[in-house]
Amino acid sequence: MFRLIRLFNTSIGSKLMTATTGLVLVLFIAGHLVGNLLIFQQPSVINNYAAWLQENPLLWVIRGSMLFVFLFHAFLGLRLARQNRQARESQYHCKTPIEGNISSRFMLISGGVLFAFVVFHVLHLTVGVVDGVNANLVNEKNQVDVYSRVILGFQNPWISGAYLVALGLLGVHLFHAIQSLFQTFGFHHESYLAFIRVFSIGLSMILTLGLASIPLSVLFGFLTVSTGSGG
Amino acid sequence: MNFTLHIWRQKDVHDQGKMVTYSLADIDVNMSFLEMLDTLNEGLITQGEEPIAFDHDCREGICGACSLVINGIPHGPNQATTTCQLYMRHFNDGQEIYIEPWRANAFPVIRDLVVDRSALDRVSQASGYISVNTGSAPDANTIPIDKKHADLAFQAASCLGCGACVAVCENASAMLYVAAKVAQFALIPQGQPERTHRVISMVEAMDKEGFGNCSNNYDCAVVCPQEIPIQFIAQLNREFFHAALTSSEFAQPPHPLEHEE
Ligand code: FES
Repeated sequence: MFRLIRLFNTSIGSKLMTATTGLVLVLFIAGHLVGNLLIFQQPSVINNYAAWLQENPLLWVIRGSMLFVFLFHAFLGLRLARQNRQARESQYHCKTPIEGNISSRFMLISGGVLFAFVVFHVLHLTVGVVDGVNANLVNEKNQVDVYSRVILGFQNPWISGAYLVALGLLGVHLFHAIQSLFQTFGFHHESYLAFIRVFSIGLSMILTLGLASIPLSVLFGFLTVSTGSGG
Repeated sequence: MNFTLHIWRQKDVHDQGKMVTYSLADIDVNMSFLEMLDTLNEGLITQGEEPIAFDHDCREGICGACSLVINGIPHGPNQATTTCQLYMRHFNDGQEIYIEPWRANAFPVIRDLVVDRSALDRVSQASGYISVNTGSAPDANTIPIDKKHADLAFQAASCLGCGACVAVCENASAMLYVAAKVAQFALIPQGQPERTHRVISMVEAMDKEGFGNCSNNYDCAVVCPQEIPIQFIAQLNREFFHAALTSSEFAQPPHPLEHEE
């Protein structure tokens, strides 16, 4: 137990914990993306998938753990940021930026916006209180009609706009995060540095573009409620 | 050459401090940056004013005493250069130059451009050494060391301890310094007996001094006059992770790091 307490109380320990929780969140996003892409199939596919998730006895265990991981990640990020601010209270009068790297301040801001976005996202598509009209849609099998709910939701350009902005921020957040994760866990060798860079760009692009493809397809009319009416 | 200098003046630790502007004329292109400040100070002394305090010792780029954030960059615009090795020919005639002290809460300003860097010494005192019994010197080359590791350890050991990494880091983190100190011993056989204890106590001492956390921005390695690479920070993370997971020391409640006097 002391091991965890000491780890939690050191700078590198907090970073290791931030990286570990971040990794869990990245894996969750990846799984979420795969599930979401089912929307490009017949409506019944994603509706069956959603119904299966809802009936799954592990649903609340997973939701609870994800909530814990998410809050812990945010808490660690805030604590690191506070310590960092306290480490330099008097600022330079002349500051020349050195490298084109993403500053930790960006991670804090994008993290904050993403936190607000996740709350909005859960209210919108899980709880269904943002656009009350679609919340109670059911299909002929009396399953929640996730398919129509998502598409009708995204037909509102404000809502899909908010999703796209948040996804853009997520992309940059992930790009720095995935690279940093390797460094924090101690992976650093010239023989694979280029790979890490390509991997973090690639993975953050795949995740964000994959997710963004849904609101974009709805906005540009590739996905409509009627496309799937036959299924 | 003529310059307009904006220099941080601060009487002592308690003083608020402010930027003061000076104009300086007829500076020789071949003067070093510190000689330029000497010239300014001579003028100030003749006028009966307090000269500007700044740190310097060897003036040949080996001791790490000189500091100064010049136009926002620790040790000035040239890479792999200490302030004492910076020359006025690296600047343009008529240029405005901002000169400030290292800024970090762990480095309180003592006077003008001089800061107290003993926080770094305390981190090294925590365990940045190897314990050897004194006596006659052992024969050279009795312990085989892999050439690659010896070279890397040498590179890490070239850290001057100047603190530029802390000064540039937006979090005022001392990770590059601690990483160099940990790596120089972790890479060679003599450093093995205390390896785990060293990384744990140096990292905890670093946190205690109030340095910030590493955000993997890597500005530190860019301004480091010795070009200590960030791979040592990855190694520090690795060493610490390993120690935290496997050492029995880490399973104990933390003990005070002070030396028994
Ligand atoms: S004065 Fe010694 S390194 Fe600059």
